[in-house]
Amino acid sequence: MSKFKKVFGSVAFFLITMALVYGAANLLRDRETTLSGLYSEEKGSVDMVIVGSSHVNNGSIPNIYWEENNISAVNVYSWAQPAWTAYHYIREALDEQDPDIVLLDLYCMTYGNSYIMPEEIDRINYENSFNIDINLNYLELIHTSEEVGLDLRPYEDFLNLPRYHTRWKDLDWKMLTYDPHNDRDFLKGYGLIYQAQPQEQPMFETDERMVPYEFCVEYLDRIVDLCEKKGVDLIFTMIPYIYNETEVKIDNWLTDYAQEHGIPYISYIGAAASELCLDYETDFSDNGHLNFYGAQKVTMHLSGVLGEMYPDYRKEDNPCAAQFDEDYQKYLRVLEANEIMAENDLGRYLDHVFADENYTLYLVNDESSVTDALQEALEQNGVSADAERMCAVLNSAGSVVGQEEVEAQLFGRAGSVRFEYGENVQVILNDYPAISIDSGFKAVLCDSILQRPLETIAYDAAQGTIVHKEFSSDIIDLFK
Amino acid sequence: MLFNSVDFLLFFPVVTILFFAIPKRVRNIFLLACSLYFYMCWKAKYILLIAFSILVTYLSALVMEWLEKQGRQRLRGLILAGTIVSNLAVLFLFKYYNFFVENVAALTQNRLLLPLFNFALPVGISFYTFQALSYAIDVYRHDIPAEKNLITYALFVSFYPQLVAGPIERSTNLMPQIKAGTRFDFENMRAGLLLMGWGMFQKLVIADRLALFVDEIYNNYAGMDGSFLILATVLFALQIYCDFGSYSNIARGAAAVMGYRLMINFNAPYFSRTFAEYWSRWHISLSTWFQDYIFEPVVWKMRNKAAAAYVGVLLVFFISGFWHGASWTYVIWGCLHALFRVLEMALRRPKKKLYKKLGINAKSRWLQVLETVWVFLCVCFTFIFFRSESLEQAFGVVGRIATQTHFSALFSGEFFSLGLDEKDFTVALIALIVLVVADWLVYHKKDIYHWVVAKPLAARWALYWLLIFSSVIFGVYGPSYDAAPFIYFQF
Repeated sequence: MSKFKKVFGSVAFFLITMALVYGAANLLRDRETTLSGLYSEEKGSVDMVIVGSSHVNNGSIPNIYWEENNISAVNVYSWAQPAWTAYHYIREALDEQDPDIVLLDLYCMTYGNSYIMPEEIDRINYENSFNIDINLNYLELIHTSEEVGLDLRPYEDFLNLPRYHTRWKDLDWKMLTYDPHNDRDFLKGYGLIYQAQPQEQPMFETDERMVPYEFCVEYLDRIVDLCEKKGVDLIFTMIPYIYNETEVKIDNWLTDYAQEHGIPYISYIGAAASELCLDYETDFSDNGHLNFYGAQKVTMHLSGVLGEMYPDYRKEDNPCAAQFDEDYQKYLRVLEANEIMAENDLGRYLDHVFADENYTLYLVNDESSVTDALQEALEQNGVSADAERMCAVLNSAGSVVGQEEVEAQLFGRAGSVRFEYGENVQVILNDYPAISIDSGFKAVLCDSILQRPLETIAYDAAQGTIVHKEFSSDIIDLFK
Repeated sequence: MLFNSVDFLLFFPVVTILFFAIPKRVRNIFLLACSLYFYMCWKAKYILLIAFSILVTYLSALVMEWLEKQGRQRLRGLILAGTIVSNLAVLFLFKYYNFFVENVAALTQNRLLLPLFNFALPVGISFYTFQALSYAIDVYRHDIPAEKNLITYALFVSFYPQLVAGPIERSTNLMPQIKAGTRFDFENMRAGLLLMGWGMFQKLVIADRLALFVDEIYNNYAGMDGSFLILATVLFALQIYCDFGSYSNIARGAAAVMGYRLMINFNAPYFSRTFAEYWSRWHISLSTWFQDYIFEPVVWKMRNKAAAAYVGVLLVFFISGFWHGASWTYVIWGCLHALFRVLEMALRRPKKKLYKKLGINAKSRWLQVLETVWVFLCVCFTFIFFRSESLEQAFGVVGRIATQTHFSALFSGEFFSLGLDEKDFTVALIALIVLVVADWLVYHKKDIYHWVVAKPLAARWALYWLLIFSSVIFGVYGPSYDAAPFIYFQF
């Protein structure tokens, strides 16, 4: 073999290998990102990014800003986000979109003094915050986290292949098809929780100041500089949670900091929280997070403040106004659907479903579970319930009754639902039984507006009630 | 620095490229500096121990050569003895002293409590000590002249690919190569990289995957059914082979890329039909070291050669057990091998006679298979002691295997919850099949490398990629796992 051939062959082999490694890394990479709300929006269409931790995810509803203030907004969050990660997320947001406003939740400044221990924040941040696109900012984020955080092995832990290569065990189509840049998140980074868990209202009041962890201050300074340099309005907020006394001291320090830098600070820590009329019995889902009712109150309050600060935004000026309107409608639809999904009475449940032509109920049944109430409800809707094994697709326009098995690709790219007929009919979500009740009928409720199945239900004949299992994104993950 | 780390993935190409880029006259200095850096990545201060070993053996060799010219043979012997004792004293202090203290305390019922020596065991100390000693003995025996150039000699002892886990090189093989220097050769590079790739596959895909199951079973042996313990022991035999074999392959491959030929350390040992054959194929560099520097001198000095052979075997395996670690489990492991070897020697003639009497063809395939399986199972049995962390654990494992074995337990559904899930197990199984096929070819002296490189380009590259990506995708590494050090680092 000539020298030229050897050199050429070696270089070609090396380059192709690198390309294949890159391809494999991207294939295996977990592309589900908390930034899909940011990435999937048309470039330049977002007016405001709301940056922070899960407090932002659960406590800020971007669709409301669109409706109330004509401000298009997205949450840019990651779990347990410390200030240095917030800095890199803001950089990413500013590069990706061209927002006018950055609304930063300052929970990130309580690192080391909050209800989450720093080691825990580092670990969560380490596992969940590195899902931004691969670019210089991504590499710098790794470097920063290694410098600031605890005991990281940046190159082994964050390069995609070392980190994600074990996902060969969970190969599915979604890995090939999911694209955070195209798969829209109409909730725009908002994670809806209805569940309420009563909390004790924190009653700490102090005038003392406490300086946050040095790296938090350093990166807050950087955020301020970055926004100033880019000509972006920076607003601070502190979304409510169950804080401690030290955090009130940090909040006082932050108030001074904000004043010093001329940055508006809308804090819901301490006395400011009373303005919201938060109900600590019903507005929290746990000690760190608001539920939907709490999030609505906070967002509406923030929206009022923003309305005063930015009265001139108009929907017509946004090139993607139609898309944001559509997303708002879907958000409303989620709220409606959640009402149905909270219904435990079979008759009322069916009434709700059949009253709306956009709902479809895929229903399976075995004869042992046909109660009089169910039979009546079904027959009213034209479904024969005396078949040995019944399969029906129901909606307000009528029903289709058949004996054949239903196997529906209800999720499209996100997965599949099918019915498995045995002694007891099972609804199988991504190959796992989706609900654990053995007897009774099972059904899957689909919505053509949201274009996905909403939940599976089982009729518990013994209790005479419906048992729900929501097809939330969390549950889909659980069943993978 | 672990071979299976990103650090090494950067270190190796950078060092290799620079090695060939710089003038030939400074390559040895450069490689020595890199080798010392490689070692210091673990614990910098322990470089002093290597330096001590290098300087003592280097100077003693020069002195022995000078004394030779002066005709002072007796003093030469004393110098050699001093060299051996001083090197072994360091080894004893770091590796065996605490073991000695504990046993003295136990023997005297804690009446004699000596102070403990609380320093970590230096990685690879047994390897480089033996390598340095072999040089001193070679010079004493006139197998090689004393090396005048300290850089050359220091590089011989600390050559990074084999520094921490061998192969234990002989001065007669490696030193001339270091002196002569090497030049870049495409074939060497290709062969070396392929060997490294195979080593990575053995380590990442097989050894570290099997370790998940083996560790789970051995760490909880007290509640395990004997069937799981048997399986874990068999898998440990495969794990340690792939673990140690992989290190040797990566070491040989890395050296080959730079143009150096290191000795083969493993040669399809589990296809051996006798224990003698097994030890000629397992950890060859250590076996031959014992053969050259302990067994032969013993046999050579004794008049009764038959008795000397038995004594030599017992001595070698006893020392070999201790060489592996300061624990009675290793000693028993060595003694078991000695026992099997001695029995094999003693029964060789009766066995021949018996075969003849029964009309058994010693060359029949079935007999070969039976003998291979027998040797493998015996080796597995010895590994119970090698793997166990204490005698209590080892005897506990043997006891449970003897009294609590129900093979139906393997199919109870519990299997996949013991470190290896179904998918990991499938990968391990496929990888083991590949290993067995590869070793079978090696055992039958098939040249796999030349078979591969003779393939058309597309097929050849596809095979390379298969090797690379099977390690990259199916390897046990990354944040989901702790990077497992090579087992033999501790020796």
